[in-house]
Amino acid sequence: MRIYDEFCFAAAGAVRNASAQERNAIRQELREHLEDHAAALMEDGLSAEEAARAAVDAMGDPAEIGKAINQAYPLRWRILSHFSLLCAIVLVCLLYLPMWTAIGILYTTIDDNLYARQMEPFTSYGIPLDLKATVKGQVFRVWGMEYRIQNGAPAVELCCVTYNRLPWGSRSSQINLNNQTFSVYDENGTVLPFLYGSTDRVPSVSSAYVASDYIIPAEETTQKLILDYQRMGESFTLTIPIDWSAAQTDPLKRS
Amino acid sequence: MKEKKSAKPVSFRKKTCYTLAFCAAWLLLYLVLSGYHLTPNQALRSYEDTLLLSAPTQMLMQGKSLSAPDDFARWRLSENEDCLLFSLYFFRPRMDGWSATGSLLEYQRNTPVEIAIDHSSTYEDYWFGKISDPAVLSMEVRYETAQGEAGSETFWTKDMLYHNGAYYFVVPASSSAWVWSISQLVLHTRTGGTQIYDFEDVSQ
Repeated sequence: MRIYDEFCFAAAGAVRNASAQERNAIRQELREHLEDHAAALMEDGLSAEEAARAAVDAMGDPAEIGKAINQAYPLRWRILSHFSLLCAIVLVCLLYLPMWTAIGILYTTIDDNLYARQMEPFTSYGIPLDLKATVKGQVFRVWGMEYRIQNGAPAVELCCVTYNRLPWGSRSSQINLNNQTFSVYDENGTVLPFLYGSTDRVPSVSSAYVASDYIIPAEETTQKLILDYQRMGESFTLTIPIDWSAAQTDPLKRS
Repeated sequence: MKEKKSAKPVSFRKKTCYTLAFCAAWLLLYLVLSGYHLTPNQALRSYEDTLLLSAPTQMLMQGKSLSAPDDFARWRLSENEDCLLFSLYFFRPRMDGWSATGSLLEYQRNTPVEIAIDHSSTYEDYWFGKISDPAVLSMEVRYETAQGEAGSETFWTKDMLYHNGAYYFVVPASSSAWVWSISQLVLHTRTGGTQIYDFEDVSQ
């Protein structure tokens, strides 16, 4: 009935520290109370309108009722709620672009890492390899080999890449074919020198992998290259077979 | 027939808690995705992880960067049994928080003096090293100013940091303002001998 609605809205409207849902619940409860009281009065012989009027009058001033109910709802939670909502909006706006940048970087890192795991030669002169060793979560992979003529002598070019075992992890640049960590031997144990870098492929470094090539002068009687890594208590050995009979040298790689 | 239990209305207290939980989750997500380092130690350990060290290093000494514009820029010298690590760490709140970089000096066997130069900073270079040779008495720092004037200053090893039978030092090699640069370190021994370390040679 309209008289109930007017009373309930007036009373609930004075409960300023409650949320909208709580005010709805208060309105509902007051209405039920008025209806119950009016039903009891109707049993005593009053008409529906008279009973409703009597029930509302018996409740008293709706504003006073609302103020009394409002005491049960502390103001601080209303203020905190609005303040925290403001903070949340500011935080979302502040971090929106950086979040997408971070997601983009993470996606690129994972993509680069997966690319490093699948690197293979893209020319007919390249021989695909997939030799791996792991040191403290970093994977060192020899993914290809080419035969070349370096300073008029036969040589082998090894294509290597280092990446993190975890796709989202950062790579280390400590596993390099340099004189402090790697030694290169042939099958007779003869130490072979090596040169860093190829004439047509620059070392590529992303946040996810380090790819570089090493040229190792080798006799045409050499059948194996043995890479021996020793550093800070960690070690591994990779053996690379060489088949000179199958060697085709890229004419561009003769120097 | 059972009456349906009406749902409890959401109070301001619950709304506050949900909002704060959302803020915390949003912030945590950003910190995880961006690899944000909240403390210097986090950044330093993360940097050490990329160096594949045999064990975490222990700090020997640290100081403030002289010429970097970031007031929070610091350097740290730390060591484990295999290496001496010079780290530079600085705070970039709008990027990834604390970041660290530096140079690693891997110990060689039977080498009583180990010296290196760190070039990782844009603003300054640092000489750092370890002197295990008890015959070394002092270290002479030979420098040049931007005006072309040459000079030197001597530091006694007994005034350096002494730890586990060795002396450790960190000397700024040059400043970004190009006021001076240290071209040589010269170690003087008790017997009158000298060991000269040239900036260009050590930098290679």
